[in-house]
Amino acid sequence: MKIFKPAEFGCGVRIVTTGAYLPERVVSNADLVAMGAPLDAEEMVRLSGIKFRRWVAENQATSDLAIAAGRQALACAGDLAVSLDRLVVATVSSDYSSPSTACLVHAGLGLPRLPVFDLTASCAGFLYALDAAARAVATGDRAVLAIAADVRSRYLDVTDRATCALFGDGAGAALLAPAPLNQGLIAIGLSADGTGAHSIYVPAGGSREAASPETVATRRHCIRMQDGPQIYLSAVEGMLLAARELLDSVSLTFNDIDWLIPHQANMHILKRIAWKAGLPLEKVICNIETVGNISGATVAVAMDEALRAKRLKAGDRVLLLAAGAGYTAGAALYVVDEDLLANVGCGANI
Amino acid sequence: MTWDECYRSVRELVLDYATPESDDAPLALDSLAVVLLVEAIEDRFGLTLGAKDVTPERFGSLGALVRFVWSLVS
Repeated sequence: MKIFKPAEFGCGVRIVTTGAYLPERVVSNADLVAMGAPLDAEEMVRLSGIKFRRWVAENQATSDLAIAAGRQALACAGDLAVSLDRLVVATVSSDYSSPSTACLVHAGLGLPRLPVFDLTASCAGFLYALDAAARAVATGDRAVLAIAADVRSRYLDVTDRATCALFGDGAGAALLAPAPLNQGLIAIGLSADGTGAHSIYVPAGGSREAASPETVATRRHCIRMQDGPQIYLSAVEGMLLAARELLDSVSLTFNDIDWLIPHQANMHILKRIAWKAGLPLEKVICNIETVGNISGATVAVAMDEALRAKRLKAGDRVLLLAAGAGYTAGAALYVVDEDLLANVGCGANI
Repeated sequence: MTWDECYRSVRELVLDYATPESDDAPLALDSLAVVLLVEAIEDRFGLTLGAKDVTPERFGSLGALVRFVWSLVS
């Protein structure tokens, strides 16, 4: 894993504020059954822990969610909002293959001329965006907006037993800026293991298998998840490995963590991570029951919710943790400060 | 724990997810059932299983699963 510690570069990086947006449409398990899902509503809860998820309206796309989350973050950023030097959008569900969703968000937010780009890291998307943003701040940017947004409902085959209940839509954002040494972001680490690239993937619609009437008819433009048990166990092992490597690098253990904000993949995965880490579930931020798995946005949305609900306090050590298709993984150690709590509180609730 | 105790215990857990006609009959567990069965086995036997432990062969029949669990607890 490649670990970045701002202090080693003589600087600090903090999250000034966060934002999040979930689309209004609430989809229950019973709604999925009515759409043809092959599981009953109770089975979905038993297998995933998910009761509801939010889906976009027909006229909404990923950039719309990203813009709403980004706008909420910038609204609470004070003067830093006009010092924005860069925008990073993590997504695996772009509005278009080209141009980037970041360009659409740039226009939607009315930003001046500045570099914007997408990155793709599946469910580790927010951690990857956070890393890119933190490195940009460490090398001179005054403020960087990192957004993770996904609309996986557009890629869902509701008749697929393995994936029908899992995915929701949403976006989360964080505005990063310089900080005093050893405040805010203490360390962030990323890794990937491409041998798992075909474990969770969308077979058609890319350059490997172009979209055609046949790929649509056979739903090959939908998410396919292979070897479910292996994915489940690999996700747990990938996240624990990332967490331990990161904590080792700063001479800490799980016992030193006040909060774990993991990727909300499946309730069984969250419980297994907590059990293996020796953390009580009370220290794990979980919102999967009501929002489902929002892919790259889960950690950002869960962090924003936890800040807004005042669950996180100044001085708390928070471990952000994610693993996703690819396989990708990321972990970050963040110390919450009073300014972040005050800034997040200024925005409208999602 | 004896082999018979191990067998009865694993069979009891498997019956929550499948009704095998014999020890060698395919269990035909779907992936999510395997996940839940892994957790149940860990709880019951105090084991920790990793991704490499969960193979189609080991979870393919009741007999194979009992032999696998027995290899870990005996």
